[in-house]
Parts: sequence; C-alpha cells; structure tokens
Amino acid sequence: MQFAINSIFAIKLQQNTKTQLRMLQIRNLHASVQGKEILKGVNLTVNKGEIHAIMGPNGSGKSTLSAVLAGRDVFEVSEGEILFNGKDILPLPAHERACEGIFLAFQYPVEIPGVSMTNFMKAAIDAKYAYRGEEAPSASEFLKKMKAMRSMLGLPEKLNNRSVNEGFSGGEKKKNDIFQMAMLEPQLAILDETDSGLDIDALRIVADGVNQLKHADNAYIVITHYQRLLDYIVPNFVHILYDGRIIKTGDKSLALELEEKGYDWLIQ
Amino acid sequence: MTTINSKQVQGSQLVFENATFAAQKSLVENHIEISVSEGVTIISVSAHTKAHIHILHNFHGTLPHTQIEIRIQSGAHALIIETYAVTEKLPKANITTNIAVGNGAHCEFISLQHLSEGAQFAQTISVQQSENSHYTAHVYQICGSILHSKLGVEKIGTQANTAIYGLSYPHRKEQFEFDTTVKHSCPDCETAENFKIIAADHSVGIFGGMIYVAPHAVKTAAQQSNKNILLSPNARIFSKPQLEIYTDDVTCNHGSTTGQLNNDALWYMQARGIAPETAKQLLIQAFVHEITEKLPTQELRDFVAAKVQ
Ligand SMILES: Nc1ncnc2c1ncn2[C@@H]1O[C@H](COP(=O)(O)OP(=O)(O)O)[C@@H](O)[C@H]1O
Ligand SMILES: [Mg+2]
Repeated sequence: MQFAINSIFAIKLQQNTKTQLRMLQIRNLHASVQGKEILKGVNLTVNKGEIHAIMGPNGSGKSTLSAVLAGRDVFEVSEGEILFNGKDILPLPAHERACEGIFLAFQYPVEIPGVSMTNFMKAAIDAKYAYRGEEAPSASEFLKKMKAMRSMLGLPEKLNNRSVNEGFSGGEKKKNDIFQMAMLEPQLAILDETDSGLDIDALRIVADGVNQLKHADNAYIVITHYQRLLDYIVPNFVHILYDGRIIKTGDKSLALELEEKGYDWLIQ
Repeated sequence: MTTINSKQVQGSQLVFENATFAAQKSLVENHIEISVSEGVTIISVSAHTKAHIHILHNFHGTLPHTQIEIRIQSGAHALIIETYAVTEKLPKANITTNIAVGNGAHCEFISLQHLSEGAQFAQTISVQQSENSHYTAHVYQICGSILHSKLGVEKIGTQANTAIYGLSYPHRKEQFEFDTTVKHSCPDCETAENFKIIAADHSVGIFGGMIYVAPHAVKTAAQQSNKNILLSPNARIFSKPQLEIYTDDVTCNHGSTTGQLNNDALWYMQARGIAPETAKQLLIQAFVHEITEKLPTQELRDFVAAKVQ
C-alpha cells in the first residue's frame, strides 16, 4: 500500500514540474498579411531550458512566425493561440510582450538616427521594470552593465553615444541585437538569422555570448540556414518550416541531414 | 523721447506692454541705450560690448503693433531672447523688428513662440548685415492658433554670415508659417538655413524659403534644408524652396523632404518593450535635435525639449 501511494505522488509531482517547465505553446497558428495567408497552422511547444532551431527555405514564413510571436501588428492572426507562461499573449501589444520576456533579434536590425544607444537601452530597461512594478537599476548600475555586455560582445567603446545601428557594419548590427538581449535578459529569445552576415570570428563571439546567457529558466528559438551556428549553439530540437507549417521535427542530427541533402527530399 | 540706462549687470530685461516699452518694469545694462521715437523703440548696443537681452512682450487682447529697431554697433556681441506672454484670450499681436548688425558685430536672436492656444501672432524680422558680421536666428513656433514669421536678411557688406534655424510644431488646428528671404547683395557671404516642421492632428505647417543672389554677389555659399514630418493623415505641410541666382560663381544647395515617423524604427523600439508613445517621443526628439542643439545654452535646449512633446 505504502508503495502505491508513493508512486501516485511521484506521478503527480512529475506532471506539476512538466507544466511548470512549459514556456511557450503555439497551437494551430494561422497568420496573414494583406489578405495572404503565410502561417497555415503552426504547432510548437518550447519548455524552459530548451533550444529549438527552425530551418526552412526562404519565404516559408520563419520571419513571419518570429514577428507574430513578438507582436508585429501588420500580421493578422486568424486562428490558433499563443500561450506564454500559460498566458494568452495574442491580445498584448508588442511592447507588453517584450516586457513579459519575449525578445526578437531581427533578421535586419533597424537604424534609428539621432537616438543614442544609451537613451534607447535606458528606455527599454525602464519600460521593463515599470511593467513589473519594480524599481529600475540606478544610472551607474545601468552603465556598468552596458559596459560589461559591450565588452562580452566585442562592441566598440563609443557604442553608448552612437545612434542605434546607424553606420554599423552588418556584423555589428547583429552583435548589437545580442547586446540588447544581454541587457534585457528575456525569458524567450528568438534569433532570426542572427548568424547571416557574420564572419567566423564574429559568429563565435555571438554564439559564446548566447551560450553564456543561457540558463535553466530561459529558452531560445534559433532561426538559421546553417549548421555552423548549430555547432556552437546546440539545439534540443530542429524543426523544418515549409509553406507556413512545421513539416518535420527531429534532433540536432536533422540539421546535419539537411546540410547534406537539402530540402527536396522533405518537400515531396 | 525717453532714454533709459540702468546699472543691471546680469543681462538686460526689456518689457513691452501692448507694444509700448515699459521702462519702469525693465532692467537695462549701461552699454545698451534705449530710446522711443514715433512709436518705434530703438535698442542700441554700444560698439565692442557684450549684451544679453531678454525681451518680454505682454499682450492683453487688443491689436498692438510693436515696432522695434535694434542696432548692434560694430564689433558688439548681442544675444537676444524674445518671449511672449498673453494675459487675455484670443489676442492678435504683431511685431516688426528691424535689426542692423554693424561691421564685425555678432547678433544671435532667439524667438520662442509659446503663446496661448487661441493667439494669433505675426512677426517680421528684417536684418541688415554689414561687412564681416554674423547673424544667427533660432525661431521656434510652438503654440498659438496662427503663427507667422516673416524673416528677411540682406547682406549689405561682404563676408556677412547668416545661420537660421527654425522649428515649427503645430497641433490641433494651428497654422504655423515661416516665410524667409535671404538676399545676397554682396560677394563672399555665407548662409545656412535649417528648418523643420512636425505637424500633428489637423494642423498646417508652411515653409517658404527664398534665397536671392544678386549678379555681382560672387562666391556666395548658401545652403537650405527643410525636413518635415507629418504625424497625422489630416495634417498638411507645404514647402516652397525658391532660389534666384544671377551669377555663376556660387555654391548653393537646398533640399526639402516630408515624410512620416519611421515605422520600422517604431516597431524595433516596441519589440524592445518601449511603449508606442515613448518611441514616438524618442523619434521626435531625435528629429528636432539638429535644430535644438544649435541653441546657445543648455537651459534653452531643456526649455524647448520640454515644450516639444
Ligand atoms: N509585410 C509583408 N507584406 C507582404 N508579404 C509579406 C510580408 N512579410 C512577409 N511576406 C511574405 O510572406 C512569406 C514568408 O516570408 P518570411 O516570413 O519573411 O519568410 P522567411 O523568413 O522564412 O524567409 C513570403 O512570401 C513573403 O513575401
Ligand atoms: Mg526570414
């Protein structure tokens, strides 16, 4: 008898930890832009601590999926749901989703002439703390962290006073997005082709940064075309997105298989 | 005719009540001489002195026409800040200011138009610049139902340099207008103009910019920029740059653009947690920075930054 009760208790405990681990649940997500359906029923579950890679040919909807998760309002969600930590985030505007802990590293980071990195980052940090009803770090704490994260990513010292991404090289822009991620410490970070346009040294620096920031409570969705990024940032799952749907899911070996065979064998 | 002199050290404050110079309310440095003749108040800054002058115009709802003549004698440096206060609703006010900038003199003139919402205000500032003089104007149209700034500059001596910075930020149904004419009547002079308009709601912003270069005004260097932002689909902006150049030996360029706040930048900021209103504010402050950074003091820059919200 004693034994049986114990095992029931053990099963319950396991279920609890499993729901606690669940961070993102995307169910049957359909999204369109200008009347054209791009996402056609995406299902994806991401648990705390996991790294998911999403691969797929150009135009299959990878950036659309990222933008819909981050809340870009030009995309219209016609069906399905997105739960983040159990909360339906579809009604939330983009800035509130960011404050909830979702971060998107852009495929094409945007230049903002005249807005300095310091003012930009300060506004973002202040917004995050205000949203949580917490007091924002002091100016000196903030600047100290700026400095630490900047040097982790090998960004130039004069970064603070430069306008956001203005005149940055392609690689610097990508690094700058990871720098912002490091500053904001999101729970879920979506990296949309962060490796594109990075030379091998920059790729290593970025990947090292991403790995350093990884811990048991956060998760990454890494969108990439290349195995070389996944050599550094090793995924738990690899998904293939094609024509608005995830058509295959596997472990890290799937990426190697794709490198060898391309997508054709999957898209019959 | 009255003449006022006082022993004020920290700059001068000149108060006008409904177009009339109010001597008893004013403080005047002793190298500044003020006289009134046939309704015109003449302010004269002595040669080779430095003057800080704050001119405050109080309007009480009638239709006053203020006439001022400012003479910056040779080699003098003058910083003049003009502000306007309205104590009654719906005034219509009018100021004509003639400024003569003497040989080698410097004049920096700042007009901060932050009137009441119903106020109609028209100013004409006509400047004559002698040889080697510098004239810099900062004109801010911030609040009032109709604001009209007619700004004219003529170079009557060689190597006279001019810089004009204008910022106009109409809201509601406000109509703000800059109407500028710079005349290069002498060789070897420079002009730089930078005007920006941000039009919100149902407002109208107008920029007219004439640069005239006379046939003998060789080696003129003139540059004009007018960049504008529409914050609402119901706002309108009219930009009329005009160059009339009658000699070949000049470098002149001008450019005018009107657009909206950058949507991609707004999206990028929102994706970082910044609320749309804050993001817009950051973009607007970035847009006006090129104009406000030219103000001579941090206090003025802060004052304008607080008003441009
Ligand atoms: N803002 C938009 N307006 C119109 N079509 C778009 C927009 N964004 C994406 N699309 C279209 O959606 C499809 C998927 O694009 P995208 O999500 O960028 O794919 P991926 O990132 O996988 O290359 C493409 O056909 C693209 O042209
Ligand atoms: Mg893409």
